[in-house]
Amino acid sequence: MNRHTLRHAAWGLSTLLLGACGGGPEALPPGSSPEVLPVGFTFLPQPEDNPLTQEGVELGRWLFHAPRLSGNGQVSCATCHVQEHGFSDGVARSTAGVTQHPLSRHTPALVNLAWMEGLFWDGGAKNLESLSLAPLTQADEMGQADLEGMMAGLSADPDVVRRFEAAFGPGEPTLGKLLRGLAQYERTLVSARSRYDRWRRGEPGAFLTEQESRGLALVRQRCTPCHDSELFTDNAFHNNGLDERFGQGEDVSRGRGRVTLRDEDAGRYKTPTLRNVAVTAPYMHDGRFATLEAVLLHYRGGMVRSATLDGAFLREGQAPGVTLDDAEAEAVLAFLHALTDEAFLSDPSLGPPDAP
Amino acid sequence: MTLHFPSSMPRFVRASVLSALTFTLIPACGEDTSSNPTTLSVTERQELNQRISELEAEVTRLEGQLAEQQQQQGATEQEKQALSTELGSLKQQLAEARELLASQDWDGVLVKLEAAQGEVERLKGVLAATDGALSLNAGLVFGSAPFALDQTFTTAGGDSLRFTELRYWLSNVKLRKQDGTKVALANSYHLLEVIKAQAVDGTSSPATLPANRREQVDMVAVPAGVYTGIEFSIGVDPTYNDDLSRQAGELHVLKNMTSSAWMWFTSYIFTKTKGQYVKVDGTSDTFAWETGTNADYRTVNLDFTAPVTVNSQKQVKVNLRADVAALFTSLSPRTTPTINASSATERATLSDGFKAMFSVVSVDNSNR
Ligand code: HEC
Ligand code: HEC
Repeated sequence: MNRHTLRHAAWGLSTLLLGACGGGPEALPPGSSPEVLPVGFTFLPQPEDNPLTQEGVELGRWLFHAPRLSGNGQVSCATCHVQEHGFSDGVARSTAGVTQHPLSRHTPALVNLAWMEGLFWDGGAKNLESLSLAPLTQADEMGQADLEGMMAGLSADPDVVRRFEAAFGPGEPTLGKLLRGLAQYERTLVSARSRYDRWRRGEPGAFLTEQESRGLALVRQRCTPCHDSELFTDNAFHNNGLDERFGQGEDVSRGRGRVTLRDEDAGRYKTPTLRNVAVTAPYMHDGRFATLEAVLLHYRGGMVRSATLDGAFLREGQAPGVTLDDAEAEAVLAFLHALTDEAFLSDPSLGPPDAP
Repeated sequence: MTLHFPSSMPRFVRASVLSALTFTLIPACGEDTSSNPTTLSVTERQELNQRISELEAEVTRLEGQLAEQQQQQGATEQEKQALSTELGSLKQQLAEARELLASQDWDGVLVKLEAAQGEVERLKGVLAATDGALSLNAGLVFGSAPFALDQTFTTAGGDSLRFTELRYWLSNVKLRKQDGTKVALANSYHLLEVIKAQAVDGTSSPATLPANRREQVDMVAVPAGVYTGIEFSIGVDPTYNDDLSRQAGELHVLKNMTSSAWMWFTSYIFTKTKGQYVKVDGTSDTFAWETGTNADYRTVNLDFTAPVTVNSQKQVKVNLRADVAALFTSLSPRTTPTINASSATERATLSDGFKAMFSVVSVDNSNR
């Protein structure tokens, strides 16, 4: 809300209500994404001091696709977070960063981040506003060793200054504004238009096949409490039996334990969403499984025991795992494909912005 | 769908009641409701009601501030009289706004509220003109000796140390009144340090942090009053520590008080203590201790020897002793050469050491 609008506020409520949508960074008007939220959600969570505005989201979208933020001018966020892969990248451990060294973990999909509290596989980043500093400065990702120089470069470009001012009002581009713009855009990466969602909302012509419906029921029974709710994740941390041993201290293989420094969190990772999972291969925090079939084989019979293995997988008189016969596994697989949200994966308003 | 827009833009955060008021009404424009501008929903009405209450609370606060100043020299009798009259008429305006609200005259309410808001801001300014200043000096010592880099000190446990760096965030300074209430000083995030010149992480340009010794913070716009003690914290409170895009005081990510290791935890580095120590075999090695994360935030509470007065004529200088030896009472570089993000227990002990290192030496309360 700018001062100017405030002056007018006193003219009367009608001016206020009508005038509020014009000029300056305002609330998101209809038409900007996301228009549709998963069933049962009524608003998009956002911090009080960084509310979504159309201009802020637009700035973030531009920054997300701007290679000039990286040390060598060639890597943007979108280099690794590719829209058609649900903003993941299709490889186990990316070598697309400035040094081309493989990263220590797999690039996760960026889906429904607004509802996620701990970010990264181990939840170490507390919010989107703070997170971007990590990929920006990390030597093997965007390798930006001169944040001050980067900001100076942005400030020297009138087009960029215009984008920042549209989003945050008059003044120099600052690192804080850059972080906030990126966060605003990332919160709009909402996936809620898959065939499953349309069926769920009872839209005309929307359907799930009988096999898919059985798959949905199985997911709701056997993949809980982890891949639960309309987000298909509890955004919590679990050990799903991938490894027997975990690192110590700051070793990334300590998983969630690296952040909480507690033994009971060793080897736990954040539950990824099942939304768009058919296009986000390979799977798990290190991308070790190439296909969904391989993931299901792991759950059915490939698990290993460890001290922190989640209790949900313990079975009487059997090795740990999830009980699914072949037909059930087929049904689950079929249902997972119904979670692919083509509208999200190809929405031009989430993709690279037009040149100015 | 209904988007939720909880607040106005950052630069207007402390802006007027009206902006808050306006935001309440904004969601209407993102919705395809057939909202009739001349009727307000129950929540919108409640919201208006709440804004009036907030303004009333503000006026009450101002009255309190004025009453306090009545007891001190400062403004003349006449000025004080004028101020209380103005506060009286403000209250009247707000009462009228409530009546208009009851009679559903929204335009009238808005006009009244804007006028009241302007008046409140002006009065705040008038009262602020009676503000004073506060200096806080936390003079570094090691036991009985003055603290300096590259000098040898011996700890109570017999360790021989030479320091190369000492830094910490001193934040959220508050003054305590006789009745126990506290007055928080705005934007108080200060980086105190004794450092040598060093390259700035996150820059490849020749930018360096210069060698620096800073033990004092100077604060202006300290509300007039009589105070009996001081409170401040070591580290950064969760509000600012959890969101590195927020800016206040001297907080900044390019001061070598963040690092990629700490980024994993989303935290500023709260304190840095670095140097050399002599090992059992006589050779020396380096130690590097850092604290950070919300768990390491510590608050120090100190009483003044006698109450002090802050107003436009008087200033206060609080002289503290910050004894670095206190960091080494339960920790030794010989057994713990490194304390970092992954050493939670040692970090807690070291943070307690920082909390314990301060004591009051003297408080000057001279005329300006
Ligand atoms: C070189 C590849 C690469 C680049 C470039 C990159 N990322 Fe990532 N991103 C990753 C990897 C790998 C992870 C997982 C890190 C981890 O969890 O340890 C990740 C994780 C994330 C997450 C956390 C998602 C979740 O589910 O917790 C977000 C958000 C994110 N990146 C946003 C960004 C933004 C914004 C940028 C640009 C400023 C960016 N990334 C640039 C590879 C990259
Ligand atoms: C006890 C919690 C839990 C249960 C039950 C569970 N999962 Fe998972 N799932 C996880 C966690 C945690 C991960 C990530 C593990 C990692 O990367 O280390 C994961 C990863 C996955 C992935 C990979 C996603 C990606 O983007 O990498 C798929 C697919 C998956 N699970 C499907 C299922 C299915 C289908 C079921 C039920 C048959 C199931 N899971 C049951 C916790 C669980």
